[in-house]
Amino acid sequence: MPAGAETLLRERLGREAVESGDAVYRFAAGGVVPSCVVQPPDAAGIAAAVRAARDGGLALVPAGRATHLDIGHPPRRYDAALSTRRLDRIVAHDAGDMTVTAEAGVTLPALAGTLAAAQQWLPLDPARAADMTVGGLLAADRSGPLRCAYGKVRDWVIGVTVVMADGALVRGGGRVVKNVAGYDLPRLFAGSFGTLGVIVEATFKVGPRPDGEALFVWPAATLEQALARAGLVLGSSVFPVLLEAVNEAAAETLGLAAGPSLIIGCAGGAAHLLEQERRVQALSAGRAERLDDEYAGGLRRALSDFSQSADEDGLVARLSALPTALAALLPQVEAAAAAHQLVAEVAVHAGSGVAWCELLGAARAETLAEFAEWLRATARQHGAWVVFESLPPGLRGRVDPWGFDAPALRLMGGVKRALDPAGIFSPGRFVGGL
Amino acid sequence: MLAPQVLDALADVVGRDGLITRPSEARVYECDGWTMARQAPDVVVLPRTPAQAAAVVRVLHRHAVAFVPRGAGTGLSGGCLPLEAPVMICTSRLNRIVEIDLANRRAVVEAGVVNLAVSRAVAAHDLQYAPDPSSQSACTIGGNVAENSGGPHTLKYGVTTNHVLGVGLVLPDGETVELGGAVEDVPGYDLRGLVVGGEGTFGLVTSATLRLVRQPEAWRTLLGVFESVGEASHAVSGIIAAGIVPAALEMMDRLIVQAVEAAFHFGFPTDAGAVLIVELDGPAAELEAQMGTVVAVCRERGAREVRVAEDEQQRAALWKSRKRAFGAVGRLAPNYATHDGVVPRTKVPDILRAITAIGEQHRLRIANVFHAGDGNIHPIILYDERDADEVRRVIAAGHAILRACVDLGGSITGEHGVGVEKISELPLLFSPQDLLVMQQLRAVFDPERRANPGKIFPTPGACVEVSRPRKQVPA
Repeated sequence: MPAGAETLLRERLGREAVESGDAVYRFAAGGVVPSCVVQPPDAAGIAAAVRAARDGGLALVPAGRATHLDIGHPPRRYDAALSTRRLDRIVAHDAGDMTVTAEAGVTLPALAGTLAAAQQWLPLDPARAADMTVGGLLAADRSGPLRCAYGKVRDWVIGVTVVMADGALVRGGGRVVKNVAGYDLPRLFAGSFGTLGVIVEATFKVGPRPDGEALFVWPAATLEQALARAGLVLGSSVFPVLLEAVNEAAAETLGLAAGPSLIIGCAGGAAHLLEQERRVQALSAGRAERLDDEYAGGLRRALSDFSQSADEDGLVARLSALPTALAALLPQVEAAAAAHQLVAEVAVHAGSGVAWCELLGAARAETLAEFAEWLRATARQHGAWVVFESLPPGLRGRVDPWGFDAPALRLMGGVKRALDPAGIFSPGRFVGGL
Repeated sequence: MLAPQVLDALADVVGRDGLITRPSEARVYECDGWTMARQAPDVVVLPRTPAQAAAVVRVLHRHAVAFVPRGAGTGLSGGCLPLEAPVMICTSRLNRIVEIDLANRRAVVEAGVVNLAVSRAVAAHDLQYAPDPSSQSACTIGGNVAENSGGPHTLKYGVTTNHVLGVGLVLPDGETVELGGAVEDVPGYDLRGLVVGGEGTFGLVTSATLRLVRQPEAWRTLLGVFESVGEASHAVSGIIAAGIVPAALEMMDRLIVQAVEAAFHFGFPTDAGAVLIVELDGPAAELEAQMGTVVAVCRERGAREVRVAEDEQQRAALWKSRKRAFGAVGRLAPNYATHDGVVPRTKVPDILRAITAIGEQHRLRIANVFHAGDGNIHPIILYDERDADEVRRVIAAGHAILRACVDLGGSITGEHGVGVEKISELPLLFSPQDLLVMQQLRAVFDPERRANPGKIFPTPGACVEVSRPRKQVPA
């Protein structure tokens, strides 16, 4: 750490904005602990911290409530966490415009509360939503089962305000739902993992919240069969808002007695849900069961949170493939896991071609690393990308969390160097060590 | 003029019949749908494959020659005007639908494929490509990618960027990169998101991977007739407040209704202040209840008449009236300039009042047809190009309208792009620092500024001389 990082930040931001006690452990990123945590009260404070970092040659990791700092490579340098959690104002919500502008530190429950008062929602249901900030949602590109019908955060964000590496406050997009003026910075910052700047404010489209939801469980003999049935649902007149295929081990974790299953979710008014129920029953020959609301609510939350590893030593992989490719790939993953004495819990956003695999077991680091390499190589043969969102400590530095090596990487490096030439923001965290 | 050895090198790639060099033929390419400025390219290159297109760009790179990409030329902001580039690369021969993957609902198409051709190719399988610009029977996917095009149905389905999963981009140095891809979560920065809407300033898009969506199970379309645009706007707010997101929510004011009626005889009341086209789609069980609500809201908010399309033919007629509205305007005046501003949806009445005032102040007739649900307005200023003073007032009024949009918290363009038309308005929206970041991003892809130079960003000494506009091209 450059000498006096903490002193410099205190000098610029005031004593109370800089903490160096136990708080630093909460903001550890991939096992690297910063020397202090800076939590300014406003965007001007964020900009002041960034300018201090520039002047003092410090490395910052932008953060909200530190829910996703373990994703990616451990930062090469990490002097201070820069948290936007105190920027927690909802700046504007006009229900008639169906847009909301929030500071980065607003939590998803706080945002949901404001929107719910107008019967609206931002239809994204990621894991750890209870403690996630708007900035984290956007920077870490979080989504959940609802992406089947509603897409990802990139489909809802329409404006961003970002503190850039020189401390400048830069805006992209705006507050209107349709806008093609200038380059589309909101999408560039979606999923940029704190490597290009500090998101301090964002504007989203929102939608009317459906009156109700129905959840159906269609038991299957295997994950493969559940995926095949997902294809049937997609080709039918059923209109799912979520479509989750789970294997035996995942069903157990989720408390689903039925074993491997396809879970179908529909949303809308009572008449619509009844009609959807009729169609689901017709398609499944009466084998799909509609869950009672209380049980459905619990399963719904468990599905959203599935990707959040319960186990410190677990290996969590996110596979993104064409939906039909997953059907060929995932049975191989289950078999290979078993051969490595691992248990693979697999839950698939079947409409989106995204599978979450959590590998559990008392395997040695070598075994896990070997499995991880096999998984990535095999997935690539199926046109799938694999991101290891959680790596046990023994695998950090051994397994590339991103595994991205396409020619576009050269351009991504260019983007990083253009916007953060001195490498202030989360150096080394992103794809290709950017 | 382009050096002969460059022409020869280009001919080596595409053949002589892949080049247009005769000035009389090149003049066809002197403008797009924005006709306030014109300039013919020295040469138009028509590659037949993405590989040829990349080879063309390599030749230009070797000789340090700038180029302008062009699709069908239906753009409305002068985006493919070859102002600072002697070479135009036209994608019209890159017109293959490369792959349709029904099970995964993807289509891979070359850049010159016409928007509507994609939906047609998959219609039998109950699928469609959702973005539907009014020019969809002519405009190309490459052009849609450049402009991040919208259309009437984007209120519910989103715009081009929500439906493009990947693009094949030829960088200005001739290297081809795939950004994004067939799958939803590609690691790394979302550079595809940057290129969509980049107006051809990152390079030449030669292919795209598109998301296909299911055709709606059912449609319900209605026409609400109102005494004023204010009442119609009020109805729009009421529909949104009822928690309904229609597939489309389009408004036409009196001037447009009269023009459309005179041209096509749909039976619209020509004394109405405004008409609203509302389309709902989705599962049939939801639609009936929603339709009842929409009809009730329209009546409650002053509709003197609500016509529900009874069958597909009546629905098609309503949409024809909307999509042909621009063409019908030709009956009202020798020339017209179409603008493309956006305001928050609740500010639609405010911007319409502002437009009326601006029209009066500049002594111009302004017609309005627009996407009311998105707050995306399209004021159409009528004029006669032979009247130089009127042309000056048209330009001043256009600027005033866009400024009013920005003052109301909106944007200077919702779907047409900045092009050359709105270069001088971009600073109304973005600070010098915002624009600097955008230019830094551009330089990553195109350090020599050879891909569509002179567009989007204000640069000193490169302003467009808007001179004597000539004959109107249909928009």
